[in-house]
Amino acid sequence: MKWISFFFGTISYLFSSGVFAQGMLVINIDSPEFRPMAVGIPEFKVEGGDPKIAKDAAAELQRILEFCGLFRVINPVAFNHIPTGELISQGESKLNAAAWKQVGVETLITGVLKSDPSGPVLELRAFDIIKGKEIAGKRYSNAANYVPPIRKFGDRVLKMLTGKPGIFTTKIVFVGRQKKGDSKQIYMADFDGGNLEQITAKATPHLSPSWSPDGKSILYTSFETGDPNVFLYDLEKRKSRIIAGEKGLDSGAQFEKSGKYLVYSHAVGGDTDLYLKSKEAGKALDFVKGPGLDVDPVFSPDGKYLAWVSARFGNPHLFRGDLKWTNGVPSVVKDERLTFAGWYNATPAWSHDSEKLAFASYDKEINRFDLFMMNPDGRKLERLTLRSGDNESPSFAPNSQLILFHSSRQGTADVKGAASLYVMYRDGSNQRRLNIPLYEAQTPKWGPFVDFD
Amino acid sequence: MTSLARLSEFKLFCRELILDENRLFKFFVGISIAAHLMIALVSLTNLFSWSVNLPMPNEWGIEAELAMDMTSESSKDTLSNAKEAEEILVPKQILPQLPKTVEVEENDDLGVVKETVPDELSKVKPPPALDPGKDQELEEKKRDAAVKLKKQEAIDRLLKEKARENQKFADVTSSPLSDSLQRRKAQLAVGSGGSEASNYTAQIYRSIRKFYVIPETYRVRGDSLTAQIKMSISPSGAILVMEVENSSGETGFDQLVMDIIRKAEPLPAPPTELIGKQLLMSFNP
Repeated sequence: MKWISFFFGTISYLFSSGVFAQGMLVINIDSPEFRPMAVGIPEFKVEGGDPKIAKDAAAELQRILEFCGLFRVINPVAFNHIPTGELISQGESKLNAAAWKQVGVETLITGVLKSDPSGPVLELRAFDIIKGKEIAGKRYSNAANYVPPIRKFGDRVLKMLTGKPGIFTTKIVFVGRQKKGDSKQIYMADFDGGNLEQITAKATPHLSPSWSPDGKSILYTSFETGDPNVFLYDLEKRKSRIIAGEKGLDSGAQFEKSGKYLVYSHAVGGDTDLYLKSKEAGKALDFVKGPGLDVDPVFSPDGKYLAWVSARFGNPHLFRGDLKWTNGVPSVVKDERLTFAGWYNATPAWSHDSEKLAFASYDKEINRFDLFMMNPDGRKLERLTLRSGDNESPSFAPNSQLILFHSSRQGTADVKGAASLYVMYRDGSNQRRLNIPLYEAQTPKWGPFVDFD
Repeated sequence: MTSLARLSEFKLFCRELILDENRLFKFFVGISIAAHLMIALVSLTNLFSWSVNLPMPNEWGIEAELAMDMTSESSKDTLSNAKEAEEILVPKQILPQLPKTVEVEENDDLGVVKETVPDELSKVKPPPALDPGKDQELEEKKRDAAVKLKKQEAIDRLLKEKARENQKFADVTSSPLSDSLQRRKAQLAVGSGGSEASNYTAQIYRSIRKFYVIPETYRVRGDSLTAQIKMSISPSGAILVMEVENSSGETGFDQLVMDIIRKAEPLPAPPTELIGKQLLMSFNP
């Protein structure tokens, strides 16, 4: 017995001892804690034009940076003593990184408003204080409406700091109702719920909107032809057409990553199955068949999996299918049940890095739907919401850091009221309501990145 | 008049019963059979279910709710019947749900403590009290077992406390040792080189990890970054030389982790055998 423990002791000692490489002791430092990045935004300089534009533009920049959850904007009192005049006009060569570092600024954004014969001009610069470098500098003409320039610049800064495009020019679609008893319509809005736009108008229900991968069209289900069919709305031409209109119920359509094929659920008799169809034309192909309901299909952005809801074993649960691609046409080769807990699991959503799967699950004990997140293999289940009404339909932001969803809470009350849209960080913290002037808003889908120059 | 007559008749019948022992016995047997039959009948008709009159959990409440949703929608918005029918079909295919079992294990510093023993002991039913001597013997046995258990518990508790105290002492003595003491300790421990290195690795890890807080932007970027910083440390733990050995490809991150190392200065003093050796710190978010 003694020598056995000695043996194991030696083994563990060998493994735990420091690793030497080229005569150096190698030490790995991992799993850091994360904190918001400290951003300094000195008051925008006014060299011409309306000072109100400069002030509002700086406020908008602060608002969107804080909205995305990655930044903390430092109170300008902390750095008012540092001169910015030459920095604003000449950029990097006049940057006193040490002074900014001392007051705790990690990213500095300066702006100046000038007046041009064609209209106000906004010049913006961003500096990475840790590197001591200018990371973005842009001049926006026609800046009387300061919102687009500020958001484009915000996206640029996000791209430089995170390596991924920003979210400030992205859009969301959702189902909304103007007042109680109205039919449900498809709406589109900016990422923060502003700039609301109604897509559909007919006095029949419209449901389950989703984006094409290029962000140029929207799929939705409409009852305007009597029985529900899938429509495709072209955002450029502002026109819609039926894309899946077989007899029976067609709904919940989703594009695969290339945007050529869509999968949707179609009900024949009492059985609902998933079908695949080309965007252009052609017959619908069987995609997922089985007893019971098969709905809510979503392709993982990396094209490896399909997640959907199946009630083949009784209650609706999440399933994941492995995809095989032949000539760009996907097929499900193998499926696996992902959830075993919960009474009713629905509305799966992939993060854009395909690393997480968020979904809504009905907790029978408290009679509420709540949001959960797990790895694509069903492990590492985390609860994201609790005691805040029914929370359903999660949708990840294109940088996977924020989750948009709808909740029936009213203020902070844990009730089943009219749903409205909320956004939170992917760990469930900082839940905020989007300010949308509608009676009800639900099943939101966050659109993809939009390319900009 | 008739009721009075009946009463007197009954009285007579009773007297006869009392007089005839055999008949009395038969009467009681009859009554007991009748009573049992009655209870059986009543239990069949569910009259006695008042004691478990809690509302039955409506398993398919949610389905019903959905169905309700659909129907209310359809009345308003001409939703076809197709979905409704299918929603109602679902419950038929339900598999029996497995009962939930909950296992509670308390994980303590000293391992898993299972608290089932005293419970089982208290559940042991005393046998019918026929033989008072035997009963007493059993009682004593039970008491003995309880005492034994209590003793064991007390010993366990003492051991745990002691272990905790030791740990506390170890914590107190390990971290704030002065440089000279550290060196002396290292000198005393010469000969067990490998473990010194691994101890030192752990110490460095702990002291730097404390300051390893980086902006959220690196989380979005993902864990593809790895910065390797080469450094050498003086015998007292000061940083003598520090430079980027392998850049993460992102100068901001290289700079950030160097700042983090600076924050942790002075680092734990290296053991003698590591003095003058270079360290390679590998950071990744």
